[in-house]
Amino acid sequence: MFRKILIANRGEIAVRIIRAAKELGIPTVSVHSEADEQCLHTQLSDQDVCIGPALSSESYLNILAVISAAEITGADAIHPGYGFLAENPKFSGICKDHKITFIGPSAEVIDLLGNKAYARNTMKEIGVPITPGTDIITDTREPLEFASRAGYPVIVKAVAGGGGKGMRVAWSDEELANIIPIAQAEAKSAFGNPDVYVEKFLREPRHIEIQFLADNYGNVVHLGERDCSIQRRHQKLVEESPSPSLSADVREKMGEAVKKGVKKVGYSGAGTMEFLYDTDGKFYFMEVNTRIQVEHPVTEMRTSIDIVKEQIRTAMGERLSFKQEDVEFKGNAIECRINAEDPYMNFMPTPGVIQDFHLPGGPGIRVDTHCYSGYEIPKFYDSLLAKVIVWGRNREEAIARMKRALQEFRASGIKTTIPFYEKLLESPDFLKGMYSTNFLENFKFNC
Amino acid sequence: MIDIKDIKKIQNIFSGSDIGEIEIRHGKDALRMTISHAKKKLRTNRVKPPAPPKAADPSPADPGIYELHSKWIGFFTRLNSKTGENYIKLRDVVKKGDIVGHVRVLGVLQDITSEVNGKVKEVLVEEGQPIEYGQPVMRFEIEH
Repeated sequence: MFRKILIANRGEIAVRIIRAAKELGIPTVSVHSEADEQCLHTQLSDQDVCIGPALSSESYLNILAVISAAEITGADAIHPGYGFLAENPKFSGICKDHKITFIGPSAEVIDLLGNKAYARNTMKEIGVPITPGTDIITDTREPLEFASRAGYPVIVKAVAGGGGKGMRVAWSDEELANIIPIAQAEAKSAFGNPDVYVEKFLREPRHIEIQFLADNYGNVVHLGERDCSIQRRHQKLVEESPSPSLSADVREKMGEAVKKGVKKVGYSGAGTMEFLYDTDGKFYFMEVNTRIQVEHPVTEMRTSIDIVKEQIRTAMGERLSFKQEDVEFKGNAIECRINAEDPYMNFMPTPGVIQDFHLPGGPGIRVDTHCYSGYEIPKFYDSLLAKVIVWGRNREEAIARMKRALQEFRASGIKTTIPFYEKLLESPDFLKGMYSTNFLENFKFNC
Repeated sequence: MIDIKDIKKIQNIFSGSDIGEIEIRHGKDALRMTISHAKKKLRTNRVKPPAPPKAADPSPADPGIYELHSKWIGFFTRLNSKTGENYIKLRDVVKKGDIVGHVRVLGVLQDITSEVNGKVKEVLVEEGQPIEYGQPVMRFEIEH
């Protein structure tokens, strides 16, 4: 059992982790910047430590400050949440050096899977389909030859990229030749690594990801898929499970691919394997996220498995508390990420004081948030206000429930993206489940 | 004389604004109203252990007093390991840049230096106490 867990994060995910730790009977320490003193996570934890000024680079990303906070409070484990230091192999390694358990995979596994070229090759070796593509580009001839074989469009990706950063699409030889040096320079400046590779660009793919859990004894289970195709600028907006498009056969193949891949790299803890699912029914490995994800409650609602608690237990060296055959998938779950942004003003962030905050309730509704009436949303961080997650016996019930939940949701004093979701939930393509990652290109909100 | 109903109306008008203080004169009568815009604090039932404590008293309003805040997270000490004595005691006079203590950060001593010329008025943390970023450590009477 851990003596005390320090949560190296803020906002709703810090609150989520505190709740899991409390239910396991483990005391918690929250860290916060000077701008986050009023954030809910600092109120719910047993102890809190100010680790720096508002800028993330000087607080939540400051490894020395986070480790020092663990030392003065006697925390023997750190949960990194998502973002910030969650996928930083250096941080995971430093935790180990200080005899603090990093609740996540080892530094080696984070490092290996963070390199997209390595991750692709590893999956290819064990028979997981990958999008046709090149190795790391070393000369200009190779990508042009690949593009002539695979056909345009192709996409140039940074091996160290993520979240849509470091990606550029080329539609011709001339464009591809021009893009590569630009992409290399961008990758070097953004990630410190100039390596890029080229892949076939799928025109209307769906973004499907599989949640998995693994322990230190080689046991791996998958918890089904989430369809995260509805995105804006590569940021997910709506996630649902099951995917309205996946056949049982493809679902099973994806699940098996995940289990093989996770075992191969010696992964321990919670993670997600992401795939692109093409219109022809083929799926291709994209990347592994070596952390808890924003949208994990969608899976929790369908399976009744507390992913964060399992993550903490496996980090303590316990075996997974269930087997694959124990996992029961029930009904449909959908999540909408409510941001403090003005959808009528091109999603401009709207930090400020929430005057009146009322959350929806009733059957099948869960809201994960760090906000409350009188809370001032700081301007320094992402604008996620709350995650509304609903469960229904079928997709129709889940959608109706989400509409009701959004009607009940009240956050006065700031603008939110709720009107955007209310319109999206009326979209015929969404209602039919017919959408791809291009959904927002054709969805007209502000008209 | 100003009517109580008028006072209530004035309060309603200004409670939704950023104005903190207003003074109204009407003939011989005068009214000064101060409205608190303090942030609402969430109430929870948590039991917060003493470590690492924060100073109960916020920064002093007296311009002649300078409050030194920690830039580090670690354990506070006033002890000069070379001399075996404390760097400072109450009423000592220090110069800007003088070392007044250390924060032990992961086993490494980081200097706390005075940022003013002044006299030590208060030491706000105890020897060996854990401290956080921004925590007030000492107060000085500024000497010009």
